[in-house]
Order: sequence, then structure tokens, then C-alpha cells
Amino acid sequence: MEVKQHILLAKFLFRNPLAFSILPLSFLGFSIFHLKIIKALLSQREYKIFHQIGLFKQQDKFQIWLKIILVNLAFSLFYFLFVSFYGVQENAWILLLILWFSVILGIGLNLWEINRAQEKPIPETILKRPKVNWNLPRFSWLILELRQNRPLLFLLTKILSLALLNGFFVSFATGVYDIRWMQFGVLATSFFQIPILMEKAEFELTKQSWFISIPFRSIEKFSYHFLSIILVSFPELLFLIWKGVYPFKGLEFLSLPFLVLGNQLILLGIQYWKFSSSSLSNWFIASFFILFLSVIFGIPWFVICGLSLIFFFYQTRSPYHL
Amino acid sequence: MLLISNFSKEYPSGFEVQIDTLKLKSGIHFIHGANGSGKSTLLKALAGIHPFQGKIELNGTDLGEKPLEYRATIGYAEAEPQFPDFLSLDDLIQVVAKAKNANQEEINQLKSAFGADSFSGFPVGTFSSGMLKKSALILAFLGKPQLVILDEPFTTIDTQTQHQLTEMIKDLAAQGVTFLITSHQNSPIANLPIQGIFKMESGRLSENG
Repeated sequence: MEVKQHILLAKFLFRNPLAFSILPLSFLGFSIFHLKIIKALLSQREYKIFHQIGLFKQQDKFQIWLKIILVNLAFSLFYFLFVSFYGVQENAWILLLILWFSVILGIGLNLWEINRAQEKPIPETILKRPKVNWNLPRFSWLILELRQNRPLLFLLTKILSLALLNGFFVSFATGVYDIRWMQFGVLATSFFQIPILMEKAEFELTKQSWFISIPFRSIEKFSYHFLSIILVSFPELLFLIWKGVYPFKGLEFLSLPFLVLGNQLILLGIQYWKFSSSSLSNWFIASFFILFLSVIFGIPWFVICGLSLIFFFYQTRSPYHL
Repeated sequence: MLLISNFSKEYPSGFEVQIDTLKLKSGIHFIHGANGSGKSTLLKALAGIHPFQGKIELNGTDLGEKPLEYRATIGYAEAEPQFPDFLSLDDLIQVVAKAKNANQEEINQLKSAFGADSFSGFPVGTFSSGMLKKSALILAFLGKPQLVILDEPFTTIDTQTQHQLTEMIKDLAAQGVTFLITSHQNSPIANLPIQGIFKMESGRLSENG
């Protein structure tokens, strides 16, 4: 959006109180989300040292946390300052009062709750191991790690990717588009999994680094990665099977679940190739466009999946990769 | 025999571990050195965890040319083991035993020797540091390795387990297994028949009497 459009939006909001209510409500929602993130971080091993801020003098605690909260909410605050200028022009004093009261409330809530949390001992982590009688196979470790340590990330990623897929199915049902539209939808959905794939790489680099000393054969390594991705992509695969069988004819349908997996193998391969490089995001963007053009020009899905397999095998061939 | 030649491992900070030639016959070998001298770097390279320049060969199996065969013949226990919190020791043993063809009898013996039967079914994240170290030692000894690399094996474990570990090392060394051990604790090391003592200083290894 250009500045001119932001100005028009600001004026509109101050002329329509109902629409304006989005601002304070969304800020309060975001500040509660921010508070949950901070509290979760303070319980993590790497950040537990910051719990000792609870031993500082009240004034010092207030200053430290106020700075942190203001920096984290800076974008929202700058935007509110921007719209407030036009609120003054519109003489919408009551709405401005409500807006800035919500800001004070949100920041105050954060300060108060964090202070309260730091006065108590750090809550004990509850480890969730499935109550099963068999040993957990290695390909299940990723999804269990996400459940234990990144449940919100996993949930949000799945909700967003399923919503996106559903949107593509709805538009496909109009009959205007061909199978390439759905293949593009699957491509976009695969890229939504990037945060999960990055968590996978981080998980392997830290908690599984010792396993590099274990003699896993190539097929065992590939099975681990492939089955992990299938498990993590299970909601999307199930959704595709549920929604996808009837609109398509014969083998046409098969392209979608295979492309979900094939695209993720490419992304995982890029990740292992460029993990510590600053150009990782550029390579993700480049791969999106290459895959997008492949879909547009009708390159058969089994060719894309075949190439993704080769690329992935090549990137994980090293014995220093899990 | 363990043979290391033209070994170097450099970090982005510029710190480098370099070894021209090192030959270790079977038996117990001890490396000591100050914190940050490069001991763990060398051990991780020998365990196949860190890539390096040069050559590492164990009983004729070259790590660079036959990585799987080499890894199948070594066992490694880190100084500060880290595993996924939600897994039990039994989960970890199952994965390693399958990769190294260790049988149930061997697993039971090791668990009994380290007193792990009482906690092997619980999540690793609930373990004390001593239990974690015992778990790492069990995993290192699985599969009857020819080379066992132990980084600070005696820290955090109780004296009874230290004694058991010492006896296990002596027995296996007498059977031809090579041990490479680092430790800052003199007492358990003094009870071992050490074949060779090495000092690591600023990334350079030298042989001490």
C-alpha cells in the first residue's frame, strides 16, 4: 500500500467507529500473544538466565521490560502515531482516547504479568511421550519434537496451509481452471511448510548431532526424511484425498499429493545445501519461481518429483548429513 | 590400530587442530589438555561427526573412503550428551542397536552394568546429568566397537559406576579394543593401564611420557 492509501484508510477508520474498533482490539490480541511468547521463551533453557531479572529492584525491572516490550511492539506504536495524526485532524478525540488506552492497557498487562511470572519459580516442563508400549521409530521424532516444543508453530502452519488449499479447491470448483491451478495451490502450500522444515534442520543439528556417528545407510536416511515429511504433511495429504478424488480423472489426482512431498524434498534439499548461508531465502524464492514456471509450462508432475528426489539424494549423500 | 595423518580441522574463528601423524595401537590412550585446546574437536572428527582434512584409518578402514564401515566399528560418548527430550533410553538403544547389529543380550548386559534398567523407559529429559552420561556410555559400547572414544566419561557419574566403567574398559582393552579417553579427573584414570598419554595444546597434539 502507498502512503496515500494509508492516509485514506486512517481517515476512514476515524469516520467509522465500528471499523476503527479493529485497531484497539487487534493490538490487545497481539499484546496477549506477545506476552505468551515472552513467557514461553523465559521457560526455555537458553533464556532461563533472564528469570533472574526477577531479583532486580522494581525500577530496574520496569525499565528493562518496558524497553523490550516497546521495541517488540514498535511497529504497531509507530502506526498508531501515524493514524493518530489524522485522528486529531478528524477531531475524533474519544476514538483516540480508546486507542491509546488500549495501548497502555496492552503494555501494562505485559509488564504486570511478566513481573508476576518472575516472582514465581520457573514452571516445570512437562514432557509428553506417547504412552505406547513400543519404541518410538526415528521418523516419528520430528512430529513429536514439534508437539513438545513448537505446538503453536505446527498448528498455525497447518491451519494456514489447509485454509489456502481449501481456497484453491473452491476456486477450482468453478470450472474456470485446469489441473495446473491446483498444482500451483499445492506448490504454495508446500512453501508454507518452510518454518517446519527449518525446525527439522535445527532439531537435527542440535539434538540429533550425535547420530551422525551412527552408520545409517542411504536408504535408512532417505526413509527417515521421507516418512518424517509424510507424517508432518499428513493433514494436507488427507485433505487432498478427501477433497480431491472426485473433481479429477484417473491419475490426474495423484499429481497433487506427490507434488506436496516432492516440493518439500526440494525445499529440504535447499535447506541442507544452504543452511548457514545468508542466501538461503533467495534460493527459496528462486525455487518457487522455477517450480511455478514448471507448473505453468505443464512439465509432468512425475518429472518434477523425480528431479526433486535426485536433488534431495544429492544434498544428503554426505555421511556428515543425517 | 588407529592411524591419523595430515589431520586438520579449522573453525571460522581461525582456531585449527592439526596433527601430522599419529599411530595408536590397541589399548587405552589418554588425552589431556586445557579447556578449549581442541580435544573434543579431535574426538568428534574421529567419531565421524565433524568433517576434516586428512586421513583417519582404523584397522585398515579409512573414514573418508568407507564412512559406513568405519562408523560401524567405533563408539562415541560426548562430554555433554544431548538427545531429544521426549525419547526414552530404550528408544535410543533401539535405533543404535539396529544400525550396529547389537543383539538383545548385549543390550541387557550394558543396561545392567550401568544400572539403567530402572530408568530406561522414562523420557531422557527427566534424567539427571549422571543418568544422561550413563545413557551415552551405553550407546557408545553398543555393537562391540573396535575403537571407543570417551569424552570426559567419569564426570557426573557415581563412584560405583566409575569403578564399573574402569573395569569394563580394562576388560575390553585386554580383548584388543582401542580406547581414546579425555578426562580432567585423575583418580579413575590412575586405575587404568594407560598405553599412551597425549597432551593437546592450542590445537597441537604431543606425546607425553
